[in-house]
Amino acid sequence: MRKHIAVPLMLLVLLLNACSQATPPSSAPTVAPPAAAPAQNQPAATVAPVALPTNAPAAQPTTGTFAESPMLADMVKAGTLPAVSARLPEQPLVVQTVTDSGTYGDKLRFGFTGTNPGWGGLWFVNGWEGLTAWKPDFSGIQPNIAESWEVSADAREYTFKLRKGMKWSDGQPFTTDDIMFYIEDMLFDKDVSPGGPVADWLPQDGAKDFKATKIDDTTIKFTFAKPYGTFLYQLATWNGRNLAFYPKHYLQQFHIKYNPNVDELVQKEEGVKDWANLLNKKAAGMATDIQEFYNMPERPLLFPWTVKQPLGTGTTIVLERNPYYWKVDAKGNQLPYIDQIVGTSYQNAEARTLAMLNGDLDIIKDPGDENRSLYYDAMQEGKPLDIKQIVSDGGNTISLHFNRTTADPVKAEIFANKDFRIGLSYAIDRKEIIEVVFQGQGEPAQVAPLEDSPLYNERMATQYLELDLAKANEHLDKILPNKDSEGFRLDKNGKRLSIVFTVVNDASFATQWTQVAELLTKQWARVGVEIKLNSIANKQFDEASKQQQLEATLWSGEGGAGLTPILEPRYYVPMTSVQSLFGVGWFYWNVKSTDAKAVEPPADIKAFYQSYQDVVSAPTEAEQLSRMQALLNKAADEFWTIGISRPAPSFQPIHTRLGNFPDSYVGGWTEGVLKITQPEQWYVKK
Amino acid sequence: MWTFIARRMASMLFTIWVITLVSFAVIQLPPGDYASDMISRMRQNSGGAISPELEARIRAQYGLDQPFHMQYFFWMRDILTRGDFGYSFTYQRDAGQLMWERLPMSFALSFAALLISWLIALPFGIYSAVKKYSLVDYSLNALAFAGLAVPSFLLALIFLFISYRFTGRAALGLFSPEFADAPWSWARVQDMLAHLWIPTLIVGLGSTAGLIRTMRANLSDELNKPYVNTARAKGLSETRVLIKYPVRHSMHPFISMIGWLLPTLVSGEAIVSIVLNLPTSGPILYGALMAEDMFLAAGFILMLSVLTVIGAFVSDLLLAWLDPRIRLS
Amino acid sequence: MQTTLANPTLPQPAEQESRAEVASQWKLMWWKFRKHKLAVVGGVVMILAYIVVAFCEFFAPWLPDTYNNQYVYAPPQTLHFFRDGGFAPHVYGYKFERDPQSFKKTWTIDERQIIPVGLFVRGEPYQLWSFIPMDRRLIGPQEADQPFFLVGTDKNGRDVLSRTIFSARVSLTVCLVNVFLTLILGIALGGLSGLVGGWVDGIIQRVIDVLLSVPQLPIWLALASVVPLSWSPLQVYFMITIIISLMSWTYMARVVRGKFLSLREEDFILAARLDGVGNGRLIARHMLPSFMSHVIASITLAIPGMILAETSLSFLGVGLRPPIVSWGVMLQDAQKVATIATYPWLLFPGLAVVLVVLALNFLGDGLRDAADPYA
Repeated sequence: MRKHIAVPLMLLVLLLNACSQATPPSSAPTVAPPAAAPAQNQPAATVAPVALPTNAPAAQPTTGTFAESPMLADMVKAGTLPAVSARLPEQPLVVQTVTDSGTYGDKLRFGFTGTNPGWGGLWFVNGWEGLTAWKPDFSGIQPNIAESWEVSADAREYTFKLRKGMKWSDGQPFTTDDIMFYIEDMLFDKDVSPGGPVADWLPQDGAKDFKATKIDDTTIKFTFAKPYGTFLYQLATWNGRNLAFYPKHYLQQFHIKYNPNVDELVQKEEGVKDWANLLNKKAAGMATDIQEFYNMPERPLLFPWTVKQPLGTGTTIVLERNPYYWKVDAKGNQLPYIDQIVGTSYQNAEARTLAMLNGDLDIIKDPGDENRSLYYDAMQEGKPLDIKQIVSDGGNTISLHFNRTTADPVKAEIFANKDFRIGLSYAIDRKEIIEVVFQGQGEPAQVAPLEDSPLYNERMATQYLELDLAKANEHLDKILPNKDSEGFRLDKNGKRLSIVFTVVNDASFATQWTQVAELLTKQWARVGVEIKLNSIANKQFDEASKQQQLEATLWSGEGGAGLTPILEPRYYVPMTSVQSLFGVGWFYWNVKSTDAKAVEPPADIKAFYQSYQDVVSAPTEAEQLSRMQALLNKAADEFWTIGISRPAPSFQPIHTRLGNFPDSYVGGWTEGVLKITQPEQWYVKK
Repeated sequence: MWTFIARRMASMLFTIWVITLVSFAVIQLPPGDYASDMISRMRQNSGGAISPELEARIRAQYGLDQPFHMQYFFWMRDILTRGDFGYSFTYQRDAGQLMWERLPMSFALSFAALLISWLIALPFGIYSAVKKYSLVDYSLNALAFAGLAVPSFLLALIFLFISYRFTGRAALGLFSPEFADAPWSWARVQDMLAHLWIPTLIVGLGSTAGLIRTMRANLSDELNKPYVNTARAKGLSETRVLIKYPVRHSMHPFISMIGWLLPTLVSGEAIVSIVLNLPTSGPILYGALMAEDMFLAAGFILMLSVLTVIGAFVSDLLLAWLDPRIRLS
Repeated sequence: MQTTLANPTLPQPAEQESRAEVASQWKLMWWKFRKHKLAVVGGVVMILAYIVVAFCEFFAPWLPDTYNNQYVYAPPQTLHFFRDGGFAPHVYGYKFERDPQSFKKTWTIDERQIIPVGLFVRGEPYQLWSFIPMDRRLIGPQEADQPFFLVGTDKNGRDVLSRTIFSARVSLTVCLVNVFLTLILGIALGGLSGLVGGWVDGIIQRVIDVLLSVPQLPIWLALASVVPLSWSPLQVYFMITIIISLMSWTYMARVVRGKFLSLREEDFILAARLDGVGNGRLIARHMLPSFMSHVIASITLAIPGMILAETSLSFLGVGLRPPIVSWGVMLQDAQKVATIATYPWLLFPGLAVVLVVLALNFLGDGLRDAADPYA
């Protein structure tokens, strides 16, 4: 029997006060916390200073009892590296490992497609460390770089305590100065950030009045202009990556404030024009692609592994353990267990699949649903493979959008009509799509929070769901009553309404989209709506999106589990994301894009967006939940997007030699894909 | 002869100049640029936290805020004055360096493929032409055409799968893992040769059938010319009759083709290399084009084109040397 | 050389002079063509292929986008001819069970469910050439709703055989456009260049140089990305086809020019010129026939080349795209390890490509030999 079948679906209730609930240190990460009633019992607890019993287990190792990788021990012996106790902070973070059998050494073989290690998936293994982090069961957040924090009652002031003695990968101390450098000398510097402070963790509304104050080397206070109740979660997601990413001691040489002679360095560097360019390039994050740190072996990091050999034009990138990594296991062994990561670049996903099947790789991201039976077959044939389960955090497999800001005014008017969307929703044979595309897995549903989320809204999840052509026609007849001789509906000018259905066909997460669209085209023809399918590459799609050429389209269905609807509201709230494709022009207006065709939203849309800002600024979680619930009710009325089905668990193949990989975990962008499995505690079995 | 060379040289320089324009324009043709591509990617992941000013800064940083002719001017100036091909946005490195690392691999592969297809095509083509409508003629043709008829990516993929199925290892890459990024050594060369034959065969097979066919057609034309009969009548041995003139004559198109093979091979090689995961220039060019990594892509196109022009020049010289009628005209 | 003195246009002395003398050039070619057995076979295959292309709807058991959600990735059925001692063509029905872990389908044939198959059966109604309503098909199940998938089905439960047949319509016609354009451009510009020479030759040669030396890959990608989104996939592809021919005429032109250059020196051309033959007539009557064989060889190679280019373009994501059905689009689904391992019948359109490419090549071979005035 394979273990993963036995693992039950976890309950995913996100509770802030879960942080303060003492969890026995022995509990496995997959055990779900009690599903407490979300709203009533924690009005004060959320804003009170958070005590951190989870982080201080009884087995807290004392100084001097730490162990380290033999590779580092050799260096210590040779005198090229300080002793492990001197490298760790006074209070290292104790990671709850999946099993307690982790051993040091060996290398993790990671396979990715393309020439970009970051986008290929490596940064979900080694790409960012936040002040906070998700608990491995996604039941809440836990301390990470920050040892503890206090939040003011109005959720405007956050005071973080860092780990004393924590160090960058080059051995230099990591202090509040590094965070201050990022905020004052990068984010608020007119030359480095010419448009003023813009960061994804910082609400745009009132960003200029944000203040950071250094209290001492390990204490820092953030003061927001408005209440910001979801900040701690944001820090655990990708959005929080920037705060502890910029080593001042290394980067200050590129800043004119610290180095008046910086122009000499500018002269020497390829591809930069001034010192701000140079700083941005070396910082790798603000005005450049964050993945660029994979090209910079010299740049200090706080991650488990640092870059030893960049990819360059070769096919492999080598990362090596960070000797100053600040996490240990319960026995006091410094993490990570694995000494090296060898990332191999594949130009073609099929080649990577074969390598994984062969046992040449330990883990890959996005193995592809169509390959599922290949992996099971190979496992049965005795290949060294193990298959784990990913529980999706998504609200739906697919979200269908009709772009209300599309360039054609006749169509834009039709798309804005709710009856049109209701009619089309009734015309979808979801059971058929589930059977044909999703291999019979999952239940029909609209795009909505999952049943076990505190934000679940039954009406939103189940309205207009059944296949009912009579109802479909009834709703469509209200706005498109006339048909031509072939039975297709005419628009108000008497011309056949022909909608271009643009679908991305080349993204690793989008392998089934064209197929869904092909079926929908057929199904919608039954109620007289002509759809012309156009499947294109992601890049062209992006260009079409900017130019408001998109009419009908589809994307994934984020925003299902726990609080993710608040953190990832792209399908519930217009203007929030480039994937809010049901009115994408509004988004470009909202971010004041210069190269896209922006469309100013009408007042009611702006008001809707504003009420989402109120959710984010709610000081308590109870308040956030109730405001979001009200907002979701309104979103259900609006019926922005049409859904297909609830996502079924997907699979994650790993090599049998990879240890401490959970049998089942919640996977999604918010959780950092693989990051929630805590790669630093993976190990290679002997 | 010297005036012929001088004339060819002059026209070659002109061609190269036009090529620089074309290769730069081709890169600029798709809408958007590297900066807009990057901004979109950043947007897809971080909720649009990019200010208009930052957008402008990113564009300026990559020099993309300049008009087309200025970008072209700077690009050309740097190449001509400093041999600097610009900067690869995706690799954050000098584009010229990147090209020099990858081009030799492409050459090795293309040259090996060329060699293989010639080695197969010449004897087979001659045999086919001489023994027309024989069983061997039919089967050689059928075999060669079968190689031509299977799309190369499919052939590569099937080959991969078969090697995985029956040897337990997919025949990926140009090197074994331990040699992948090792410095050049004799062992590495051996390792490469052990891996090279598979892609070589796949790339080569496509053009082999064409060559057999051309050889057969040309030689048939020649064999029926009266001078061959005359030669036979004079009592020359059949082999001598064949080799002395007809084969030499029918090789003209072959030679005039050599120079032009490079772009075709690179396009064909790119697809096979993508499937087989080979570190040649095809995939990197493909990647650079997809990412709008302007200078890298333009540099590659320019280099490949210039090498082709030079190749064509050499093949013209060869042709002129072979056939006095051409050099004297 | 003494051989050049002999005038090659003089008829070869032969035994059956009487018959050969009165026969037209085309008749002569046909006689010679018949000798090449494989070429005749290739020709027959191509004629059949184009008949099928013309009447796709009749020959295919299903329409290309007819799907059945109970028969997704169904394997090919075996056609049985006899039952109970009599001739009664039929296939058996089948059902799948899905493995709860791997979701892999296991199909079991149900020998009790007999699906009679017939010729000229009634099926889904269709419109031949989009205006003749019909519902008869060459072959299909007696009852229109029964599963009948001789080559299996694809990811949406569509019949692979039918789709392969409909694909031929796109793949086999679009390539003709390309070849036609290539031929016209190649002969006209190559001939002009070779015959006139001077600055005309110079310009044409430089254009050819540039077009030949720039790799085609970036040009395809660049052009594919500038096509407006509102264009249908077929329009896009038609555009790409034209562009490819605008680039590929150069090979033909070079060959033609080379031939012209060498022919210019030949005595029979000189003789014709001295006879006062004009340029047009010189090309059409004297020069073209003498290298017709080469042109035909190039064309017959160019058609399969174009068919293959279509599949490669689809591989790179710049060729035809769904919902268009073409061999390239179908093979796009097949270019996955999972397909080769689990659903190998999806490679069937690959067989069609090989068959057509082979047939065209042999046909071309035969034509070349036939057009050769000396053979």
